[in-house]
Amino acid sequence: MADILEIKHLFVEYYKRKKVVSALRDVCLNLKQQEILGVVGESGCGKSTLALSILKLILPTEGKITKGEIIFKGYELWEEDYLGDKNIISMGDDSLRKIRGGEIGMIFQDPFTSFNPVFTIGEQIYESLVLHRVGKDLNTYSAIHKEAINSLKRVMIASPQQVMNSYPHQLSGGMLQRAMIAMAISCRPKVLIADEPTTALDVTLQKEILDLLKKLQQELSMSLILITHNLAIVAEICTRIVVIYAGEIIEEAGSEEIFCRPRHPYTIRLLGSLPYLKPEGKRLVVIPGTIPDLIDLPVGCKFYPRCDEASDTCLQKINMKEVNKGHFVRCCRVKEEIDGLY
Amino acid sequence: MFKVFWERFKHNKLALSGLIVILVLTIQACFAPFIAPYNPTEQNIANRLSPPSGKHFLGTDELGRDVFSRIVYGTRISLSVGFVAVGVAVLIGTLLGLWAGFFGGWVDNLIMRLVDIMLCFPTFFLILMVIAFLSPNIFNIMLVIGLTSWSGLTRLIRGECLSMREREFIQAARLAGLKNNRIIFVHLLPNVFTPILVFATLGIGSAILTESALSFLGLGVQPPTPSWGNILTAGKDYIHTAWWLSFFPGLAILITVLAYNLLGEGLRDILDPKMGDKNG
Amino acid sequence: MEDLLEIKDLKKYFFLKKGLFSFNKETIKAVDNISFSIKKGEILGLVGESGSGKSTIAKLIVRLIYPQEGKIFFKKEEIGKFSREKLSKNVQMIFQDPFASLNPKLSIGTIIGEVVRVRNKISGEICSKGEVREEIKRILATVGLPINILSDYPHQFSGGQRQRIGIARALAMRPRLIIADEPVSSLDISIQAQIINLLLDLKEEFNLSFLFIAHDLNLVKYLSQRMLVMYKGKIVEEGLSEEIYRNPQNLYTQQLIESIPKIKYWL
Repeated sequence: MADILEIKHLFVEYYKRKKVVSALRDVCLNLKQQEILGVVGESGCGKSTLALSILKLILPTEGKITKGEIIFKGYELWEEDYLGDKNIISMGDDSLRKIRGGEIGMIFQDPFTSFNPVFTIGEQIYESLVLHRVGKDLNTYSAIHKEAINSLKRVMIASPQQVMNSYPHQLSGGMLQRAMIAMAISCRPKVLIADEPTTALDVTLQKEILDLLKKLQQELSMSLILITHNLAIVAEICTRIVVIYAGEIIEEAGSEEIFCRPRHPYTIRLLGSLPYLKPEGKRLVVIPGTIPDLIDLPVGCKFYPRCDEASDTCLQKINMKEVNKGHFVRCCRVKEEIDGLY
Repeated sequence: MFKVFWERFKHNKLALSGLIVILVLTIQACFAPFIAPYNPTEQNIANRLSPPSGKHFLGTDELGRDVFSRIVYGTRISLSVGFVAVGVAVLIGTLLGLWAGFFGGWVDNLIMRLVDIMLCFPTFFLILMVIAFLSPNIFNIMLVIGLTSWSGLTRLIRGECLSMREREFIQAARLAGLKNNRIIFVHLLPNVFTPILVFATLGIGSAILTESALSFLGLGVQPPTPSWGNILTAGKDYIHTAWWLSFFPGLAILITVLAYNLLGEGLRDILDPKMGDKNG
Repeated sequence: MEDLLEIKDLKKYFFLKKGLFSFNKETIKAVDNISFSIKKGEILGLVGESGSGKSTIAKLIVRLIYPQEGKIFFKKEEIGKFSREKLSKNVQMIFQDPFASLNPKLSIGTIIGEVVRVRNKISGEICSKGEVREEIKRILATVGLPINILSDYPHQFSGGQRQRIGIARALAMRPRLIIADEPVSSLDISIQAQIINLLLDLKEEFNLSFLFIAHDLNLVKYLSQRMLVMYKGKIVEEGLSEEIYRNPQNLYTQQLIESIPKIKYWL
């Protein structure tokens, strides 16, 4: 399948009390059509920044994209004679509005704060439909209404009309998250970004939402970027996985490859620290120390201070290396055998 | 934490200018005998109602006293009334607010009804009435202003404490077996310091205003002791012939109250965005 | 083995007023007739989703709130008759959110020191300032923190370190039982493992008992031999973790185990 989104050498910085926080460095990533890409990392590693950058949603008062390109190839794929700007970073406001919500949809972690409390769910879904689809394929009120109902039905809401007339506080967390997904897919985006979509929900609801996302991705042939800190969720539905650490992609591979043959020491230990299938009495693998300060990063490998296989070679600039087909790792010692830790 | 605070404070020009004015006024009050060119109560009838000149650069009053010297000495009255009255109000307001917020239940109910009653009274007339019964000297004025202006702070602090009481660190303090008094004064109090500071700064301004108004009505500081309010009163009879008599004390009140308000508002802006909370 | 804590027919209902003027109250049965016991030296797991009443149980045990009915016994003595100090000497708690559980305005030395002083007062020991400082340092070292942080403030530390400070505060009382209410759920994965291992080390070193409350069934299964599953204020299943995981009897437990995300490549 062809790529639909391509991120090239993306650098993002935040400014905090006159200090530069280096949130993302040299991020290169491509998203294929109809794939589910998992982006995994701990808090503060830059995974949410990545999501915001794709829609150019970083507030200019807080930070900016300093370098790089984000090429949206959706237009080319559907309209061969498309001549407009394809780089989201250099796009004007009008084109951006079409992209945001229209071509690339987004789902946030907390459904309670993502809806406006003074409008009904229906009104909020109408709003995005009017913005993105009136003038294209929906032109009457009844068509818009029907589309909104359809979207709610797609996310397995049993009584869509009732949900349409409800205010956000009248719905449960699970229901609200479904409504948010309905709103995101109502404009038929080609890419859907889900930033920790299940973190605020109970375990039993988590599974339902994940299954729902997977079903929608297939039905609507979207590409899905699933951003989370939960490795188990990624394992459940993703086809390809990217691991981020301190603002850099450190490992990228197919899902099975990551879980069965991880190569970066960080990924290996991260998997070892999960309490799954542990024989009784055996301790979890621990990564000592904490995530580095993004204001004052170590030189060379960013994981070097926490890694017990580190040597002097780790202090140079380290590039991504392909160790297997489609499996990239950012570690200078990766040729030497460092498995058998978990 | 103080460094961060000062860093932000420096960039808030209005608050900074407020602080500078207040410092100047405080120095003026402390060193009044050295700054004032004349004795503020010394009369010189021959030289009465002379306009601002090189010799008396804010002019003289109906008894020939130097207006500048009187205003300089008046700063002492105004500032001390401001500080003491607010001190009394902060003491009562904080204590009752902490109790109401921490204990809840009937204690809270009782204190809040008291606050409601205080808020119902037209405060200024209450002060007038009390002063009319007591003798109008400066200590009574300080006390009465303080005793009538704590209710706003109590409400504020109670609200803060109510939300804080459910925070885990207060629960942890209970579980550590600490006595209620320790929880209230060691754990809660430092966390409501910001609203207290803002209230106090703004409160000083309004206490000075109240004192001036009382003195203007003749119920405040009694002549011949100079206070901005009673200089103003004396000037009102001569407003057509000797404008400087009422203009300069009025200006002094304006500048002082403005300075405190600017500082207070500035502190609120600086301290409010949850300073030192999550990211230090 | 001997029971350390025994809970008998515990009930806690909350009443919500429905409208502004209505007298109808909605009853929420947060904890509905629950009995269980924690044995000496065991980690008892308590699983359930949010709103199932598991945190209410924690608060009832440490008496931050009081039950409508039922009794809690600690070593056969009724907890309701304990003084605040006696209770805190025996039962301590570790909280979920390390950012909310430490007073931002107090130094680490004060936070832990005041607990040490309460303990000394209860046991009648008289300690000099220097001895209290030494004790604080000893406790900090036990939980793997540097010992020169006494005059630092909570905001200078990361989430994982703050959670260690929270654990140090609980340990400072030398309790017999620790209630851990979702102690790792707001931490990063790599930090979670550090804290879990620390809790296991401490359990062995001090022969502690734990009530470990979590929504993550995997974690509870890893940590505890015995667990309770809670649903809507009731215990729906109780037994050996291994067994419940392998062969859940209750419908809700089955659903819960079914919905745990599994790493299919590792099965």
